[in-house]
Amino acid sequence: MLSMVSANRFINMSAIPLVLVAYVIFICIDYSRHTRYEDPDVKVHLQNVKNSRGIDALVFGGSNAAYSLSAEYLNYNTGLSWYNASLNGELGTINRYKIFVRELSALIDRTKVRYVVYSSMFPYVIGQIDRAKRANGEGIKPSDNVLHFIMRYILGHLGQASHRSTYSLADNASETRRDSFGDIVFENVKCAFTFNRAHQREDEDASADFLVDEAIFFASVFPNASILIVLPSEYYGVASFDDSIFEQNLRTKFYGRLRPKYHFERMIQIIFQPPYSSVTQVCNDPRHADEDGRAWRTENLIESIQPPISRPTAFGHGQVNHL
Amino acid sequence: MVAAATSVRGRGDGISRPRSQAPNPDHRMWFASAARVLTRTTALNSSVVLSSKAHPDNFNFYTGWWLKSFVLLAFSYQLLFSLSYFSWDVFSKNLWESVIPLFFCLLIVLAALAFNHTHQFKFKYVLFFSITITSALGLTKTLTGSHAESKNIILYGLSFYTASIAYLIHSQQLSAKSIAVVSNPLLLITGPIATYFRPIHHYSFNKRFKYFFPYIVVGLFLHQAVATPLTTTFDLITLTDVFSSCAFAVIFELFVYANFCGLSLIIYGVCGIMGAKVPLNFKQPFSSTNIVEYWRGWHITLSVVLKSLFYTPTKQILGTFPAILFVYLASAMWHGITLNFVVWGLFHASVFVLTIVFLRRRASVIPFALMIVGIVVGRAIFSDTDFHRLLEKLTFKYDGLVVLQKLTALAGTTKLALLLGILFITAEMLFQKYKYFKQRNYKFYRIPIIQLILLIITLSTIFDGSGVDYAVYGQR
Repeated sequence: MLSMVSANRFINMSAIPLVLVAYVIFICIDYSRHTRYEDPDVKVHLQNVKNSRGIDALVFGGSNAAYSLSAEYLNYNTGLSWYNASLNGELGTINRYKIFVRELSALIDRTKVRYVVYSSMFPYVIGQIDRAKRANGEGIKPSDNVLHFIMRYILGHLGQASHRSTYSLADNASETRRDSFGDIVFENVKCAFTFNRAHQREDEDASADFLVDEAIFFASVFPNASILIVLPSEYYGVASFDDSIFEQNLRTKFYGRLRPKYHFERMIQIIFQPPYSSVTQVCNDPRHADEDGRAWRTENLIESIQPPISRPTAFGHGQVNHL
Repeated sequence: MVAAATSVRGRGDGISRPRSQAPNPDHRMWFASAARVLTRTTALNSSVVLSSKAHPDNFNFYTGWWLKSFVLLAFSYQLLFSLSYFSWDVFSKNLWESVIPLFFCLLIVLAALAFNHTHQFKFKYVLFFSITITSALGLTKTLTGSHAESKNIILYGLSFYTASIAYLIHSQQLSAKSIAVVSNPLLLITGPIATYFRPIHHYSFNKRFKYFFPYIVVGLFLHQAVATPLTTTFDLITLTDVFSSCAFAVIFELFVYANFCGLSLIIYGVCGIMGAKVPLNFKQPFSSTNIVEYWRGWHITLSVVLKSLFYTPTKQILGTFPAILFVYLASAMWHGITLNFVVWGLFHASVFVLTIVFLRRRASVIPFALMIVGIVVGRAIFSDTDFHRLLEKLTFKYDGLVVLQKLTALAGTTKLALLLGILFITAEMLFQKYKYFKQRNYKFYRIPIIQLILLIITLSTIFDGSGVDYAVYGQR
């Protein structure tokens, strides 16, 4: 009985406080690691844009746009000069990403940009918009859990491939080298698809608010551009997934909220891209296309744009309809 | 809501006076009466503030309680759930959207204080169903349990606010002080409805901490390690075959329990440490052998309000069974004004009545089976506001084992959460006769070694991307 009392006292007075202190230390380490982190792709994009001779159209968004949209393909098929400035995880927070967009826009003539594509999967992940809207992107919760952290630490010391976090800005950053169009070079990517993500849809109101805010932001940075808000393709697997109600409601709410806030509504368009039809079109995630999937999704995007951008003529330059 | 309550709180320590002693209940013009009440309570309040020696314990306790609550709320906001997005820029977005509900809340308080007894009788029902009205008008969301927060923080907690005031009117405890107590932001987050709220004078802080802290650990475990990762399974709602529907219903029941009970335990623990005793909203509902016992342990404070407002008066007029039906329909309307809630109310009333019938015949197996069916099918009905899809689910068609593919594809954290949740509930069910479970107050999970295990599991599994933090019952 005495030993039981002692054990309980030890747990209450020492073990539990120790666990709490250890967790606080872990939070501090995680916080410092997270805030010091810089996505290497940011520098690549800024350098590429700086070296370009002029850009007519830009692709923004997260990893879905990085993997699944090709600026080179768009360039070839529309005759405009496109650049893919997408970043994994959209840099984690909306503020951080907006700073990047402004930095990038300062390197080009913003008034000459005629198309901006923003492809975000935030409306397809419950809670992601809330997380991204936080001022700093960090809170009392770590960006990765203790178990992952320890495994990564051990594997790192053993010299093995790094164990990736579920939500890390650095995902694939080292292996997804970009070309001069900003597109991912697939030769460096190992496409091993595992069906590891549940399909989700965020609240329609929250999604519409977020997308309208983003559209207005891009419209303010690129005043003469047509803003194309794109909801990306996903691979749903064998199970059917009826998205028509979400799509219809979100479209209605998007334009409903846009109207009172923005007077040039015709310059902004929301596009829902269809799901990937086969597992052969995806790479390492239901939202990441492989090379075939990328061509298919990019082609679909071109077809979705209204009014259409015409194909290149025999002389090699496309006739672009002015919006 | 919070602001309205704050403004009222300052008006009075007029407070523990029964409503029957309120001045001049026969005034025809309610606002004249309200003005008079406010004048008196303000005068009373001033006198109490100026001569706080008159009621030092009460005044200091409640002032301290409010201060502590706000400080705690400010620092622990992310621990409880993420307020960071909608809370701080709400006023800058649209002033009218904030002012109108604020005015609305103020009106509720003034009306509640000013009405005479007859009007108060009707007014408590209007108050109770005000959340139904706001849901019908689209101002608040239907409470299915899915992630759908009301954008306006002023409306956050309206359901608990109005239900609490309705109960106060019914129990003749309505006063500025009691309104202030039930308007506390800590209680509005996710309840409980403050059917009682007592200061704990006789225990020191150390003793209170020792007793109440374990509740916080259990609550954190349920909310963070179990409920939050389970939010990634919500897409299963779209599958309509029998196995998928049942699997989703079980997981969703687990989620709602872990989320709501977890937050209730956290609030119970926090209030206790701060020196206030509030009702324990959950008492191991799965340590039950039939649905009647189950409801005795689930959202207890709402049951108390429903019993007081609907069951007791209706039973006297119509008898037991119609009273039960009435209670469930009222409860359904409180949760949301969609067709699935009507079906949910009728279904649960039927299960409840059948259970009583079988219990009277001393049967034990059928009531247990009814409880399982009631919980699973009831949750399937509760969670789905798409009525056509719900009808499709209720045909119980077989379409292979699609759900298995979905479940195996879940992230590791979600699988772990599912396992932990099932273990938690199974322990409640299997060991309900043992001494650590018998009292139905989570005693087993408050044993130091179990506490340590729960804490380690919780802290080692939570991370920012594990799922969505929100309060199931705090959305409106």
